[in-house]
Amino acid sequence: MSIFQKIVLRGLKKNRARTIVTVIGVALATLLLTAITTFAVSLQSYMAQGAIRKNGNWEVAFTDVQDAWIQKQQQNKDVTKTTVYDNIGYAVLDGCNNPDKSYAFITAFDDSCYHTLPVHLISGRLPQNDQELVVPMHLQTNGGIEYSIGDTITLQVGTRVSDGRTLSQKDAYQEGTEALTETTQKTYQIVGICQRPSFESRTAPGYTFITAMDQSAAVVSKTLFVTLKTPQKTRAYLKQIGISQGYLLNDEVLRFYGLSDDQTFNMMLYSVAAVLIALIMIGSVFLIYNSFHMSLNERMQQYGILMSVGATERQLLHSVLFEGFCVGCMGIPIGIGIGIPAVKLVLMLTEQNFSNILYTDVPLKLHISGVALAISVLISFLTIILSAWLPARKAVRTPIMECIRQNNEVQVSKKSVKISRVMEHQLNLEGSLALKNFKRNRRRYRSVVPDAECRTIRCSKCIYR
Amino acid sequence: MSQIQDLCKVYGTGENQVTALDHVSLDFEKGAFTAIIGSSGSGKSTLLHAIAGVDIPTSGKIYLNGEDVYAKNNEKLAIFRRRQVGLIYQFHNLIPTLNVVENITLPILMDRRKVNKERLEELLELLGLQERREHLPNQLSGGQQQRVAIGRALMNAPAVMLADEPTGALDSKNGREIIRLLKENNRKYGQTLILVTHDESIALQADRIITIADGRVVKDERQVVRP
Repeated sequence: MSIFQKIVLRGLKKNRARTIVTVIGVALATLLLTAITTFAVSLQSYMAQGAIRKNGNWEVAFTDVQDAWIQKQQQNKDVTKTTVYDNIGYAVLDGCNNPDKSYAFITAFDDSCYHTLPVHLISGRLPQNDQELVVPMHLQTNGGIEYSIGDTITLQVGTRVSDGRTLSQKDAYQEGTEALTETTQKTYQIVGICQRPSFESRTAPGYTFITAMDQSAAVVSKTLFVTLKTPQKTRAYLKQIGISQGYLLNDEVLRFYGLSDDQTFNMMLYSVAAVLIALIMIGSVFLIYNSFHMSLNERMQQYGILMSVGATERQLLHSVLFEGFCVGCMGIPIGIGIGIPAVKLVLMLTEQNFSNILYTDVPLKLHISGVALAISVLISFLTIILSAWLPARKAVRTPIMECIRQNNEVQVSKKSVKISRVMEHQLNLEGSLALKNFKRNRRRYRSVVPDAECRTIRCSKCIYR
Repeated sequence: MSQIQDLCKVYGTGENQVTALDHVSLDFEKGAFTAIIGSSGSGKSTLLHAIAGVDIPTSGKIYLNGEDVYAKNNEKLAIFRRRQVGLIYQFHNLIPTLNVVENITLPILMDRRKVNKERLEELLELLGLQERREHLPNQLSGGQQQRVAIGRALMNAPAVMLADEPTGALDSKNGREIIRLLKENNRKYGQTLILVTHDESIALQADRIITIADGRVVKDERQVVRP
């Protein structure tokens, strides 16, 4: 341990009150940062869970794939789960009002499909065999075709083909160029009506009809839904398997991981986070800077003595950074230790409000992210170093004798502390003294006033919410 | 040989401008004991601090052992102060959290060099601080604190010892003791000793007395040293 580190550690121990005030400042700043980042991560997790509940637990869908390719994906180390349904085929819906969506797209689900792909029944039940169907509600509202539970329908089911190419749900309706081929007649009984399935894209040409999977039946193609170990790596996964088109992203879920193609949404998400962190960081700098600035005079004298004995600027700045590091090591764990339970309490208190507005069946849980905590710690350390470094830089640039004598901190002229007679009369002696004290060293309040402003803004935001 | 050439130091600007040193030129022989005297505000402390490299002059040059003090950058100047200059203040200026030994060895520890134990013991004995080696400054009397400050200045065996009213905050007995110590070191190690004082009895013990008034050298007397 160098002599400078010894001086710092003993100084921290000797000036216990000052150290405690600084550590409290650091802990408060870290608490705020931890609270914001942990709350943001918890909220992100809540929104993503809500989106998964609504749209399904998958990241990418491939609409027209074969068994061999599916097996290959199942063996991919980045894939945690695959869900497959059979594409039975398309059938023309007579009397459909929507010219771009005039097909029924019949799919066959097994039990595992319902775990990954949510089917929200409005009435009836799920199909139990390949003779039963669940039809979506928007067939009536969008297509103008009304079926009731118990109806039996007969469909000519085939494959959509255009220029010799088989078309899937990814391919929008191509009027005049596509045709339905290899049709076979199938009869189904309607057993349930569900909400529009979230995995049916907006441009899909067929309304999704769901029947039960018959393992022995031969199918033309399948649709594969891939759930990745790390949703954030969706783009990397697509790049790795060499697919640039012909897939469908679960955008509603991915947007909460910042992977949305919607640039406006991403911009909004990141801008809000950046503004909040900047606001807290500025406030924290003022808070910690104040703690370091309070003891500046005492430090200046010590810096002066050390410099007169031969300490270099670099040695002094290093010792200040070491002091910041020590204060950080004490204050940051306290901030995190209080910040996380505080967020948990806030989440508990606000869970009902969130469920009223967003998802009723998703619990708002505390989600601790190592990355978010690391960011909080990093920003706290940067803040401490900046706060400690600023007064230290001022000290090392002050002539040594001025540091030792401390005769340069406040230079007062008669004019600068002059108060009008009216003010003097209004304020009495105590008020006049306070005002003169303020006027004699306005620089001191350069950090106090913005700090108070930042706190007021933050408090106002909390009250307003 | 140390030299001061045409040294000026001006504080403030405009109406508040004060000339502390006004074109001062002096030579100091190696190993000599020089006393600088003058009334309060005459500029004697400013001159000493300028020589020590802790108060940058407005103009002029200072050569210590042939080295141009203010031609160095900040880093080199700091190292020069650490190794070549021993500076003693009126108010000791010790580091309150370091004990006697740590305060004395501070310039060596700053250099990350190994402390010469023999030299340290020799100094502690000379300064009469053997029994106080683990004490903190606030556990020492004023005289003892000043002896620690002298020890710190001597530890590196600097070429020049500069003392700014070292007895100013001490009673007469301790003051005499401090001057005896400084003179003893001056003789023993052949260090150049420049001492600022307004006490004529102390100045009379020096080889040479320089009188300063209004920032100028008004008298420069060499005298026969009494044993």
